[in-house]
Amino acid sequence: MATKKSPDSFRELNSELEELLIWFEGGEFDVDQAAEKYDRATEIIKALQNKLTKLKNHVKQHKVTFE
Amino acid sequence: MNQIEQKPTFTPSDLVGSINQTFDLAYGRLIIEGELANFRISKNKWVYFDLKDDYARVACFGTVFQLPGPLEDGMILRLTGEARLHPQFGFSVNVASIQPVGQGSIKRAADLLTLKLKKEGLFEPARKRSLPFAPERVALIAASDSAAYKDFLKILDERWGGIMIETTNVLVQGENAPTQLVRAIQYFNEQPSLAEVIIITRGGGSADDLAAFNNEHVVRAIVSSRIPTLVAIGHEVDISLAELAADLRASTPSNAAQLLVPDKSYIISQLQSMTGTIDSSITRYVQNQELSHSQSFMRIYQAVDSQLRELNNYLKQQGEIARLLSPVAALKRGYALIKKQGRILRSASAVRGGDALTLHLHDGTIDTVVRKTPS
Repeated sequence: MATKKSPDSFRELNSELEELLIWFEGGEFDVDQAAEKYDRATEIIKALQNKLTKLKNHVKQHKVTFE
Repeated sequence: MNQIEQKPTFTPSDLVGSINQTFDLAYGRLIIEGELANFRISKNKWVYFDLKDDYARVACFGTVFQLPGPLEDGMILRLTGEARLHPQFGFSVNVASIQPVGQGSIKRAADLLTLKLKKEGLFEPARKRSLPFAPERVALIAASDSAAYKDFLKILDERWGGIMIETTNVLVQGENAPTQLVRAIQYFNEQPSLAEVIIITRGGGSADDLAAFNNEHVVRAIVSSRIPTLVAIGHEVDISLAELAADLRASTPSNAAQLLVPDKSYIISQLQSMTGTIDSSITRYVQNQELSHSQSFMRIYQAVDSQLRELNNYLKQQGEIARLLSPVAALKRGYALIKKQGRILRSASAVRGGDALTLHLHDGTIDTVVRKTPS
């Protein structure tokens, strides 16, 4: 049985960021939506950075040592 | 009473019995070495043959279960048995065990057995099982005072260690060696909880010394073992049938330990290297992602900035156009807006002498009256 993906998985957040990037760089820029989308983009980047920091810390904490 | 009357009188049965007792007292279990002649098997069970030299021959009798493998006339055999006078068939030696002796006979016996077992497919690579990787429980069949035994355990401990080893101390050469080897293999196979692998080992020796490992019963016990087998007999050049029958053959006892377990220090260095690779791969991924997110943010920021600039420019342009199109700008340049009765005057023809007009200049208005119109 396939596992249900978390709505804020790294992959999904990354792809949402990609979509926002396309929107900003595409020809459909809209002033009314821009602020909201900009906020969402920074929120996503923060969430992604958090996940990466957690991963780095996890690797540091669980470093394997050999006798 | 004459001398003949003083001698005891036997019945034939008594005499046979008495002679057999005499044989037992005089010889017990005896050993004969001689050339095999008239070898034959009856009903797949009984074995009859003679052992001879240049001047005599002795009839022998046994069962196929006592044969070390296929035999043929001309081989030199060492036989252990008991001298017997049979009530009907006369004198023979009843066989307890038989071994070919001498390089030629041992080799010929091994060749015949090899041929027989090969025909049965006992040495086929397809029936070989793989040994467990770094087993935790090992059954060891060896002579416990031998160098082979000590070498195997020493190398095993150096390379891996922490393995549970169950040993059976057996004879690895001589008349009783095959039986002990077979029993040891059966013993380990009959345990309620089985070892993961059986190791059978001994050091090098003459062909005669290693004969037990070319014994058909030993080979068949190895083939029948439920537990995978690793056999290391003698030096690199010695290859016994027991090794051919085993799931894996090692060239020496030390080599058996090397094949059985990996070198712990090598495994650790491999794990270290793998861990390092994983660590740096994660670090590289994290760095790439961080860079990518930072670039994404910059692109969004630049896109917004650029869009805002464009909008700003657009608004500026519109403002300029509006400013240029505004009547105030014209008024500032010296033009005036003329209104008649509150409405903009667009043509001179709409004016008559005496009309009241209002002149709008950029800084105020002037009320005036028309004196004269163009004709």
